[in-house]
Amino acid sequence: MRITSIVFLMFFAVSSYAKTLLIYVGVTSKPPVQKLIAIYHKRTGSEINAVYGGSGTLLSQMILTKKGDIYMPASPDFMKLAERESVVFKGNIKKIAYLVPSLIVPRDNPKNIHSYKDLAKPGIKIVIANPETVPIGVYTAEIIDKSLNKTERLKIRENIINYAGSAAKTAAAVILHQADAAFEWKVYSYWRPELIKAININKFIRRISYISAGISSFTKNRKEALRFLNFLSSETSKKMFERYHIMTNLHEVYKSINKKVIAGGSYKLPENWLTE
Amino acid sequence: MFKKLSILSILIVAALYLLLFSSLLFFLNEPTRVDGNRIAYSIFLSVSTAAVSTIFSMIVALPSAYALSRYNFFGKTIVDALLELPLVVSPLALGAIVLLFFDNPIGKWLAAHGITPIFQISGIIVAQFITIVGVAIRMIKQAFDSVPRYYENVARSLGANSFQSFRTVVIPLAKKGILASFMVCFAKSIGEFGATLMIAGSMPFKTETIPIGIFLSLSTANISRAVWLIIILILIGLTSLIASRYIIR
Repeated sequence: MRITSIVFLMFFAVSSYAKTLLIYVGVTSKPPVQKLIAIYHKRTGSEINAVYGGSGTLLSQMILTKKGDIYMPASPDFMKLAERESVVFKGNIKKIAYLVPSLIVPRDNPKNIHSYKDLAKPGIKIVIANPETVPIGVYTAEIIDKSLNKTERLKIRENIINYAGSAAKTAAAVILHQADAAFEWKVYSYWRPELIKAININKFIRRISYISAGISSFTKNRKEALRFLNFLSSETSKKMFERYHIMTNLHEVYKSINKKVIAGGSYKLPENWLTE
Repeated sequence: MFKKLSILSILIVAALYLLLFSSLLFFLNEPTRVDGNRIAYSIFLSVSTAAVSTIFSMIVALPSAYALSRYNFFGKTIVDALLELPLVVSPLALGAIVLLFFDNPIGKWLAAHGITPIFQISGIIVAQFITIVGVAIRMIKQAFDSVPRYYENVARSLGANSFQSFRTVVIPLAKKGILASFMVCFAKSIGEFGATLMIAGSMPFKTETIPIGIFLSLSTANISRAVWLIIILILIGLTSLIASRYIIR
């Protein structure tokens, strides 16, 4: 009887271990993904452990630890990198939702920043996400590099006081009044409207980003990972993302910025970006 | 038997550290030009800020440690406990406290008048200072405790005032302890990470100290740069600690 119980417990332990997934999620997707994990657990009993952070940092963690079942960055720049590094299986990448870059300022906007060009004024403190490791940082670098002439560009660069380690930390810098402005995904202004507001920079947007998810090549449970991946691209998931103002319909995104731009693509950070 | 076991125990610990350190060599590649420049900047920044913060902490620690060692005053026990707080509270929390301080009315007023360490090189010095000053006071107090009061009393009876007896009698006799404290605090400053990240940020070629550099290198899977920085950190730390031991002897 006792042996039967032990064998049963061991089987239960092994089978529940097999149903546990480790997913790496760009921090901007955290609010809807947390809810989705709870729904998925309720429906299937599967345990999903999520690590949130800057998409590049997460990718490095996966490369270093060789662990994880799903990678879900906030931009295709990092998904392409993951494919190139053979961290995710090619051909099974699902687009989930879209993100639009914007400029955010504290709600009271003490430095009267009303346009992108105001960032070049002397004494303005700007925080941007680390362009080496955070998707919004890459988009920021691209906007700064391509939108203005060299003099204005250098003035804005001079006003950058820090690189934040994730999109959430970038928003926190504005919330805590450490910065007068920050480049950020527009959704953050919907999440904390009492503390921050977005400034329209649609004219300068070159491309929009999309959140995607793919199965990691390190997975030990591809079947279960695929099941969760399908759930992430389901209607339930879309509704959850929409609930957090993260748009899932490309036409709606174009309507919100009044123009059509590339969704996705990539931008290679110039080698002298850090030293310029 | 016990002697052999105890020596074996310490040798195993040392061997474990050596094994861990030697594993770094497998990942050592020649750094690229950009990586080399970044590493050089990080070393310069870490060494210079650590020197400044250690000197500041010594300036504060010498009189504070003397007061704790020699005088009884109201609230001494509480002050003593407060000084030890940075030793038990995580540096990340200390950094967060400084960040939040600069978001309160006093901090905002200071920032409006240009006094803010947030995302500045001065933030590195503040971060290092708040994490080492408690250690400095504790170590120097021990050094002062070991100087018999009798020598000070003799100096006072010969006409020296309290500061003169402190400068000419106590300091020279506690010199070794003070120097050892300086070396330990310098090494601890060089390795400071959590508070620095919170207060000064992590901007390459601006506030990227050696530990911040290791963190950023691992964030981009640049193992080679991380390994170079780790080795440099170990060398500086070991040199400081060995030097402090020689000074104490």
